[in-house]
Amino acid sequence: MQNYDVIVVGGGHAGCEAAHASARLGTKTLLITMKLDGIGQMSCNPAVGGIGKSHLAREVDALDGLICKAADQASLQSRVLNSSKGAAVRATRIQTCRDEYKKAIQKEIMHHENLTVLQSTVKSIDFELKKVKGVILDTDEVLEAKTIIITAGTFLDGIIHMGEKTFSAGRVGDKSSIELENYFRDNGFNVQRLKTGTPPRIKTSSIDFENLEQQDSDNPIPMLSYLHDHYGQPIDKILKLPCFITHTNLSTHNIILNSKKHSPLFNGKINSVGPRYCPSIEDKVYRFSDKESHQIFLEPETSDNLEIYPNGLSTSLPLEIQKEFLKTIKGLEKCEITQPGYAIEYSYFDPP
Amino acid sequence: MKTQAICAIATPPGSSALGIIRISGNDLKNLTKQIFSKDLLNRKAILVSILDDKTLLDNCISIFYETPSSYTGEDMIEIICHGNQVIMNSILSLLNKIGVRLAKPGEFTERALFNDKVDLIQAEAISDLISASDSHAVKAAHNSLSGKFADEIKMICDKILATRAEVESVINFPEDDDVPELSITNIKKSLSKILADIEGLIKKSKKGLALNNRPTYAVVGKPNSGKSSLINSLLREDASIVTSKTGTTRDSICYQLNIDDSIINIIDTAGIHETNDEVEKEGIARSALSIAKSDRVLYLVDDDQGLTEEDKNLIEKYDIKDYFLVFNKIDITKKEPKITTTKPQEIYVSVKTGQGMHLVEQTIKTAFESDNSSENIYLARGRHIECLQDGQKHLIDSDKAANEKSLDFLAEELRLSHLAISSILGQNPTEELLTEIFTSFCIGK
Repeated sequence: MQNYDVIVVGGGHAGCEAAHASARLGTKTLLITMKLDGIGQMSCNPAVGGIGKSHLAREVDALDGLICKAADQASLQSRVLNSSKGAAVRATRIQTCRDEYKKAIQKEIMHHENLTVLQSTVKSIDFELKKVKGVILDTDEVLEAKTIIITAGTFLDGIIHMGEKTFSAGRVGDKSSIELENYFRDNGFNVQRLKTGTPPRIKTSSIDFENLEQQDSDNPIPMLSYLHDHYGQPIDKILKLPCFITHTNLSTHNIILNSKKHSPLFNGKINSVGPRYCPSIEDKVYRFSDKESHQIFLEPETSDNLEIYPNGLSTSLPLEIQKEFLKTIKGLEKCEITQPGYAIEYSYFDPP
Repeated sequence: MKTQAICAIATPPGSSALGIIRISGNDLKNLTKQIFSKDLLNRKAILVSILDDKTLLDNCISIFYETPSSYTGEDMIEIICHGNQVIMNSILSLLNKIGVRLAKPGEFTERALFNDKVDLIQAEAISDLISASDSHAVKAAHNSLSGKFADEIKMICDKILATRAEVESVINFPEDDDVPELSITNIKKSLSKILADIEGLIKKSKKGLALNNRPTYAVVGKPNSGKSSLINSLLREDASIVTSKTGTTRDSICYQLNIDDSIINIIDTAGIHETNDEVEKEGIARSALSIAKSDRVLYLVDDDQGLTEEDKNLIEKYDIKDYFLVFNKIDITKKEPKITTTKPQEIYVSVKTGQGMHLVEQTIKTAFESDNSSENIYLARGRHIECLQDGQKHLIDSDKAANEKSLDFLAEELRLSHLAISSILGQNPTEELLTEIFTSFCIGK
């Protein structure tokens, strides 16, 4: 039996920041993740900052957190939004290389004093007289701690929907955490379901960028972190990759409209709510049926630019239909999907 | 919401034929089963005995209101017992014993608010209704209670919200081709419309505020014109002094006068004339103060002397604008009592014989009613006016920001304006605000 001050369960943005902050304070900290290589993995869009989140990222940065420093280091395309609208509403956004970002985060997490990392699965929480005592692993081993931080993201009983197909996963390719979800559900936590989604990824070499609007980084290249000299990395060494803009059209919309019965969001299979700010393409087409076109950003995923993230095309339609409607979009006529889009339902609960 | 059951005596202290004790809480039927001789029935008045163990405390009528159809939205019981303080206290102790605690001031209405049975304005109006002491204040409180005031506030909030949505969407979705370009001209147009709405509402609400703070009439004139006698006559005639209290000054005394359920403050002032006497000078200064804070003046003239230059000078010097001229002592000048339609109106009376006094009363009442005649006035509280003015100020600032095309300041000022005005409806109410509001209630309501 081992003792810690703090145990963090989960290795995403929240878990890494929590564990690192705890360790920085000199507290004996353990981060438990189901997959070591998943630490710092960006599940969806590899962007940091933007209008809704740059202030949050920078607040974390002001507390010496990781996110801005890692994003700066992994920057591919970086812009200041609202640059013409008054200082208070400007926001920096960085499209990062998801591999570089993960590497930067893992370097910090794996080599920090007071911070131990363990690959394992937590199945329940050990309570004594309503006070938390530790976590119980799937091997029945008990790890004691005064404080437990759960940062489960989409992993608590995550279920992926892709057309009619459903399967259990925390994100595509990763196991979900079912036992822990059941534990919370059975022990008085008010467990509810949320849903979110992600677009299909596209092979970069299969896209025709020729006639698409190009969107470059701002010059000079904006940074998110105020605290570091970007790890000594000279600014001209930061890789600059452009994004491109394309649009859906009526043919795209017709395919999506005709597939309504195949969309788990609309055929009754998914009842949970998603974030308002990232509606799926089905949502946009069904709800704004008078719109003839929706804007799509084609964003690089990594520095070697093998995959493109088509921002604005989050979908849970069957793979065949995804293929079909993508081909109607300018520049994507011959595109190849490297990973299908999907919706994921998962459990959450308010802190006690 | 899981809350402890509460109870309170709902009727005024002292002995009376009947007294009412109210209880509110969850699962009240089970909780109180042991103290009633029979099961209570939903919305039925039934005769039950209240038993402490086996001792009979009282035979009373009890009514059960099942959640959510009750004042608080929880289960409620009304016990109508004999209005004896000892009996009622022993019932309260018994209730305490089974886990029902005494309610804090305003707690019943607070629960009604939390259970969405009333909104904040209605909750405040309930407090005003309880303390309203004349029929006009009651009417205005009902206007607020019925939600008309809230509807106007909501309408203004909706308009601000719509403008905010326009500005915020341009700021929040800079890359979205779906968001139309912002037209500063249109924004400014909307702002000026909202500002006009707010101004109108402030005007109507101010009237209500004056209504809540009773209208005040001062009786003014030269020494010995019969001011005190006039007031005595008015008060004696009606024999309905609610309270009378000596004012902060030695010489101005404020009385409450009730004429057909219209209650006004009437101030007896020191006679005004040129003097070197220090004490008199002080009294006259206070008279001037009373004139300044009164809504109208009854200016008393000795009809035997008529309206002199001195009177005219006094009226001008003390800036008396809204006034009636009351010519006293017609018993000496042998005139008939009458009222003119001149401006200012002249009333001929004899305080001594009572001739024409009904004309004075009638004039006061008519003036009072015309001050408060509008059906649309609201019994707005100081808080409402302050919030409206605060919102108004921020809207004016957003207009300035729009002129300078600084969208960030525009959005922020709009937000502050929205916050200020929506706080009237109790949206985003803070704990302090609630405590303040609910402690101004009488116990249990």
